Amino acid sequence: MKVRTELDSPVPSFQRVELTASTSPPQPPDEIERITPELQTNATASSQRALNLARQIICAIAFTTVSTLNPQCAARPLRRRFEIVAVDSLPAEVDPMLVGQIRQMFERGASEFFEDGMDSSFARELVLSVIEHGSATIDAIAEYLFSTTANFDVGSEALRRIADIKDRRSLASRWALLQRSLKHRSSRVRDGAILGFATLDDHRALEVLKSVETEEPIPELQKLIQKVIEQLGVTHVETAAQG
Amino acid sequence: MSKLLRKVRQNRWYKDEAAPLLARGDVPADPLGDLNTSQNKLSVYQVDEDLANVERIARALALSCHHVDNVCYITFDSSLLTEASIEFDHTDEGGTYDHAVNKCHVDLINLSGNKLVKLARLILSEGESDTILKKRINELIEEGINSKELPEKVRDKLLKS
Repeated sequence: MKVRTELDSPVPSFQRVELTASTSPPQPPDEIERITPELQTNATASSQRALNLARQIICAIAFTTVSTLNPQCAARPLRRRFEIVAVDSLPAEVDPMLVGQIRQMFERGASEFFEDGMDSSFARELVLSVIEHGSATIDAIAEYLFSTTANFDVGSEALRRIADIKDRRSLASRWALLQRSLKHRSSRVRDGAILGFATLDDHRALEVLKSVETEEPIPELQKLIQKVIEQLGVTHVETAAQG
Repeated sequence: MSKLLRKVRQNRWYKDEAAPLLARGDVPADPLGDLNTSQNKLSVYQVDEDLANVERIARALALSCHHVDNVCYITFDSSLLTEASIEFDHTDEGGTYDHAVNKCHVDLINLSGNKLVKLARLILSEGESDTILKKRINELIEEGINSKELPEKVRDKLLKS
């Protein structure tokens, strides 16, 4: 089966080749040649040989460069799933300018009334920032959310929304922020984190939620955690059934 | 009437956090935001005594929003209305995609600030809040379309969620 494989960093156009399924290592050049589109040309036999040679050289360079950009690529099969980042591995330094922008965004958000299922200017701005800056925005949100002046109502809304963004680049940092927020001093922030994990619907959060279930002091939140655990349990079974 | 339901954001209705203010005869201000009135009326939905139609009402309310999401709600006994001297009116049907749910619509009428605060206090003391997760809401919508309880056109909202 052929699939397009996402790489973390943009790949220059000459490297845009199709790779085999995520469970397989990069293919040898002859395999690549088979899936490289045929060029429309009237070349003679000798120029065709030269063209084939050039094509193989380009493929070799492409693989060398891909391997350099991402050493794991050459060493082991390409992975389509992200690695869960430990909570204590959040970056210590965050772009102060971005933190300032995020703070202003949250302050503007404080004037809005948030309802489930309803759009908000804050949510639109937040999503755009994540799309533009990726994990840097998530790090800046974390910096703000764990500051002494954070607005927890807006923070809760932010955690719900960041879970719903389809952006693979920032998934690991979003996961780490949700996990860290499960132990936030504000019940509203914890609520946003629990619902964020429900939205991600990734069974790997089962252990994360189970670890905080008994520590949660608000009965309504404890019940909510149990609901999400139940949902993720079903997701786990479904995922396993799909192989 | 039996029980009534109002869609809210659950994290504004935690009983433990409201308890200190309730003990002083006061109420937290944030829950009042979920009781926004229009022409001194507040929309609620009538729920079966055994809460059997809660999911169906929640599904209809989810479809009335911009996008399908979790639905948080509070339920409370209709006897609280008498306690808060609140009148109600069944005349106007709801405007959701589910005709059966529309018939459960009830307006609490002639509300004043004092009555609203009293209702909030009673709900915080005696009502219950809960959340139906988005994934379940999506399943309910799918079931609703298949059983013809919901029109086919709501599938668009399902696809966007």
